[in-house]
Amino acid sequence: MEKVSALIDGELDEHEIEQQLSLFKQKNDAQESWEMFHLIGDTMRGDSRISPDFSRRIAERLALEPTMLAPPRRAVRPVARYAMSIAASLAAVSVVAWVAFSSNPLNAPQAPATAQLAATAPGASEQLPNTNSQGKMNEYLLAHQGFSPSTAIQGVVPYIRSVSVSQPPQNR
Amino acid sequence: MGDREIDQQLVERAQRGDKHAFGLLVSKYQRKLGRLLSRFIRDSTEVEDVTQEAFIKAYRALPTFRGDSAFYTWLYRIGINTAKNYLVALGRRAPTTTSLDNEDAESLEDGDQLRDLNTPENQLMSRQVAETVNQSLGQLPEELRTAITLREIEGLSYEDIATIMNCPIGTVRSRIFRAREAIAEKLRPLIGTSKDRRW
Amino acid sequence: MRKVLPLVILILMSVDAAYAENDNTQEAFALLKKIANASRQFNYSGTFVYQHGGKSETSRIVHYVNGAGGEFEKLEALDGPPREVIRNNDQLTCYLPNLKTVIIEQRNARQLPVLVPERMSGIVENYTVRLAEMDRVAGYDCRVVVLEPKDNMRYGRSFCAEVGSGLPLRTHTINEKHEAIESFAFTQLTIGGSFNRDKVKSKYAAKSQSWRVDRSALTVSEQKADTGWVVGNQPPGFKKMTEINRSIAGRPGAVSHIVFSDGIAAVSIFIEAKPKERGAAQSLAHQGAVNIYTRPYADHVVTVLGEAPAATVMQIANSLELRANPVSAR
Repeated sequence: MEKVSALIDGELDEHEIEQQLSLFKQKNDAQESWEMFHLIGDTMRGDSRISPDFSRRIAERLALEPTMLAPPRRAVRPVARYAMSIAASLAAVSVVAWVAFSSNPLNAPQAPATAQLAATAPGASEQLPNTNSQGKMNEYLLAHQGFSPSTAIQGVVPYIRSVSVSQPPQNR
Repeated sequence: MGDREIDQQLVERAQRGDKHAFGLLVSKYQRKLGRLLSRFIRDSTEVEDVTQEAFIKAYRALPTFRGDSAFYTWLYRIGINTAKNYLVALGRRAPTTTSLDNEDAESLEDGDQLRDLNTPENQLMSRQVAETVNQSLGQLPEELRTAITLREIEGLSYEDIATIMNCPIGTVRSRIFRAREAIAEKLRPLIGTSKDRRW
Repeated sequence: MRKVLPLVILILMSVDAAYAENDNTQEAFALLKKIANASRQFNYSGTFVYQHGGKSETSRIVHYVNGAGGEFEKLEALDGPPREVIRNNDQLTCYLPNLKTVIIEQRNARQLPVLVPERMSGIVENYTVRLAEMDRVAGYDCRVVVLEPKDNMRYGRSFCAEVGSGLPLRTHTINEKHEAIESFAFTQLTIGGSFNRDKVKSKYAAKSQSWRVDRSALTVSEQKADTGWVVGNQPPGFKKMTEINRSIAGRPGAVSHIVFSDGIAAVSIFIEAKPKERGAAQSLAHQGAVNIYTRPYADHVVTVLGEAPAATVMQIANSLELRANPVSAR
């Protein structure tokens, strides 16, 4: 528990911090020490005025929240000129389909049936797009496109997205 | 402050789906944020509701937190907005906050004259907690009391405390820990522990 | 309640003020307006390629406007399973022969999302619009106009507009790495041509009489419906445009549909009652520039999708709540 005390004071190095944080879930007394030591510090500073079951109540609410899935962050480059790099392969023709989010959603061609959900959210409940949900997504997209300005600019062209039919990709 | 490193780590874990990590941040900042929001909202039950909402809003906004500011600064802004919106929704005027918005989150805590805002039950409990903490502090051996005071009240690093107390850093670390443990022992019968809380 | 008219004038004025700053911007905006109207005004037919995620797909398109102002379009997939989309003014009919299904989608006539002044102000606020180089696509000279996003909550766009008509011959959607994540480009195009009803009829029109028909229904009114749902933490630059109650083609039950837009990108929120067989999972998927995120909320299912980055879509989805539960409710 002395490590928890040092952790709170920001006196552990990065590696130790990681170690300690991982232990929290397993060791209930680490959690208890964290809360208790913070209470002591706050009380010494005159911050003690919150009801004791606040933590419990917020824990209950947090449990109801969807687990956050933050996509991997990328550094923003200063805008000089757009470099157009499009996959120019007209030879690989396949059915347009939905792809589950991966850490590289933009360029890597993926077979929809086996795509894995975000590498950024281990432990979050995952769902692979199956035939059923692909159809549903298309219905939503169809409904959405009637209201999108960028769709309107191109007339009916973008609707090619929403009539993709869930079939195994046919690679030539 | 070493604080920023651990907050950043907890935030990153929370952003990868670790709700428990966010819970640790809640435990850390719940009273500090509550105290801040009580400047806007008089009723202490309402303060807790708004504090809770602020934490939930912060949790939902996590993907947008990029670490350009300290986590508490970001949380503090969300807290103020939540409180303002709450007051507006109830048709109440928020106290003029232009000066509050611009001030550094940390400096806001100093020299603050708190009015007695608690309901009788909360009042009793927090008074008991305060009394117990003070009493235990008084009973500590001097070097433990000094160490924990320099850390919690003065906010000094272990290194600075070691310089002041003329002892190795390891000793500082051990003294602060023992001080906390001693006080915690007196507090536990009072507030109980929630070992079965699940995140 | 603000009156609509003065607001429109105000926005026009402030947008014009923004134009004045930079001649290039002014020209760029003028071109953007021209592009926005071109697809509706001109008759054209051609072949285009849709590329994304390393895949590509070729389709034919025909567009006609008749003397009375009626608009007709036909989109026909040339790769993969056969599909056709026929547009007849505000009604869209999708023919899916392999599923023996016809989907009929009613677009909202009163809120056709052309570039009205409200949208223009959104574009000015959220994007830097500039003219870029000349190019040549499908045998026509065209001019590139670029919309650079001012933050990472939206994608960039680039349109290459045919110099005469303004038709967008090539469109890219661009991510923060300045890579095109989606593109539409004509490979062959004929502008003009006389109206011919046969050219915009589906070859499946007769066959589809025996197919299953899924229809959507919208209640269109001047007032926005109040669905009771609010987005607590709106991404910057996105404003609520539409809020309606409706049904989705092929699905029973009412759906709340709320649309947010930043002037060029739109994100739709769909909320419906959770079907019993559905678990409590969330899912995130994408197709080209469109990200779609689904999550449960009490006994509802929330689906948010749009031409915006995943983070934007998720932020909207995760901060959605029923207004029946304000902070002070206990």
